[in-house]
Amino acid sequence: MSPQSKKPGEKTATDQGYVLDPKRDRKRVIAAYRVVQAGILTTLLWKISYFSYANAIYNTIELNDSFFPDLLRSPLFLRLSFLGTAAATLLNLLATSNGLRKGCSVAALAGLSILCMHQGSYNDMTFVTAWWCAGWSCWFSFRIDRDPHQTLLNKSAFLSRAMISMIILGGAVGKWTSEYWTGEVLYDIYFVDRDFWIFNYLRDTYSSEELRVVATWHSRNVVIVETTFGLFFWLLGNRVGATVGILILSSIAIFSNFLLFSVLSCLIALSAVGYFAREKAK
Amino acid sequence: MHPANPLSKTLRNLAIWIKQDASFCLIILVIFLVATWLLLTPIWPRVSHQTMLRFHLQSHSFTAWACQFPIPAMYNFANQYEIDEYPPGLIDPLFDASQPRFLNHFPSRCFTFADARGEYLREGANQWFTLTSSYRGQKLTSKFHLKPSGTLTPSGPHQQYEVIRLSTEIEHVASK
Repeated sequence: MSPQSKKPGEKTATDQGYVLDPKRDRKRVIAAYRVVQAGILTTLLWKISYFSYANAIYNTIELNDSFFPDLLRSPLFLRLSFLGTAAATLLNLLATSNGLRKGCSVAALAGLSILCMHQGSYNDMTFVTAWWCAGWSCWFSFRIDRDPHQTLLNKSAFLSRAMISMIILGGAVGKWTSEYWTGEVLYDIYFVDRDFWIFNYLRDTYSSEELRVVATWHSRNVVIVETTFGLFFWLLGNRVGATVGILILSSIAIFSNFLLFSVLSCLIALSAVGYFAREKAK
Repeated sequence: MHPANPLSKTLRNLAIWIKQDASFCLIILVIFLVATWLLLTPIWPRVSHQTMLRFHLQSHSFTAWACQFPIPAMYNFANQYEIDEYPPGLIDPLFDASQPRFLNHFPSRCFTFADARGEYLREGANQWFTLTSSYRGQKLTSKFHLKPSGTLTPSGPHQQYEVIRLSTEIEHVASK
């Protein structure tokens, strides 16, 4: 007998050792799902003014590059894909029926797939992280009525950690090269002229030689933290994983560039899924 | 029997979930494949070469390029770009004032993405772009010519450019 068919408030201990409270557990399942939708929506809207500016540029400067199919060069198609994805995610956040959740998740995944391949947006990692979160949402929405709630929450928390680990590993592996170990790349991108509180402070405080040394150690720290996080994050427990994930992912944006919240917001929300799984009954 | 450590506990749960849920199994498989590709990047030069081609929009087909989009690549490789208003080789490098700058990933964004496209192509003049990506002793250099192919329309200023791939070259250099 599935937990969904139990009367509200009825408690048994049949779902892999968890005390069941179907009504409350259902709320947790929906809350976890909505947190991720809110994260994806934040990711999409964080740089909305920049995307609006990009739209104006694409309407006035066209690139004819036969590498991309015609549709994936069209500014109109890009605009529709972005707006469609944002609308589907908003509807997904507000949806009360599971059928609607499934439809919105599939639509958002399709829209993000286009954004990841379009000439005007392929390079923005915002859409890649959102694509993985949309994949998680699709899977989750199709399992809501099939899995016992606690099992689903545990599975989804593990899946979220596995996805985040792999994404951060992607960042780490590309930095396993001398130009990052010496700090050359991050020095040029951030330390030379980036207008951001921490880099402004460092430029005001240190000489250019000292700044170069700070950049080297900052870069090494990034490589080590991302490598450790990418290789081992998936092994953490639900709550510890959620806390570590939120802290590390937030710190990346807070200490580098607030625009990175557009890439990281959905991952921060995905990480928070671990808080929704309950502890096992003693 | 309770597993002795968190790793065996995680693996035990994972085995149960994979058996019960084919869609979960599929996603885990995709994550595993992407992670394997990533971990091969530093040890198998063909993998890093493919990623460099991806970054320069030089994969052998659009399909081969598009298949790689789920692979995360934030701040990957040492990517640089240079922009010239004259064809490569026309001006002595001693008199060339442009300095290469680093980019986080996809150096081709310096002519495809919003702000860069607006900055370098607004005037409707010819532009030559040189992109380089370096990773553990491999260096890919690609040259592009952005050639104006259309200008004013009745609805306002409208630039059209043809993207011409001039060359792409891989070098094996000694790691620093």
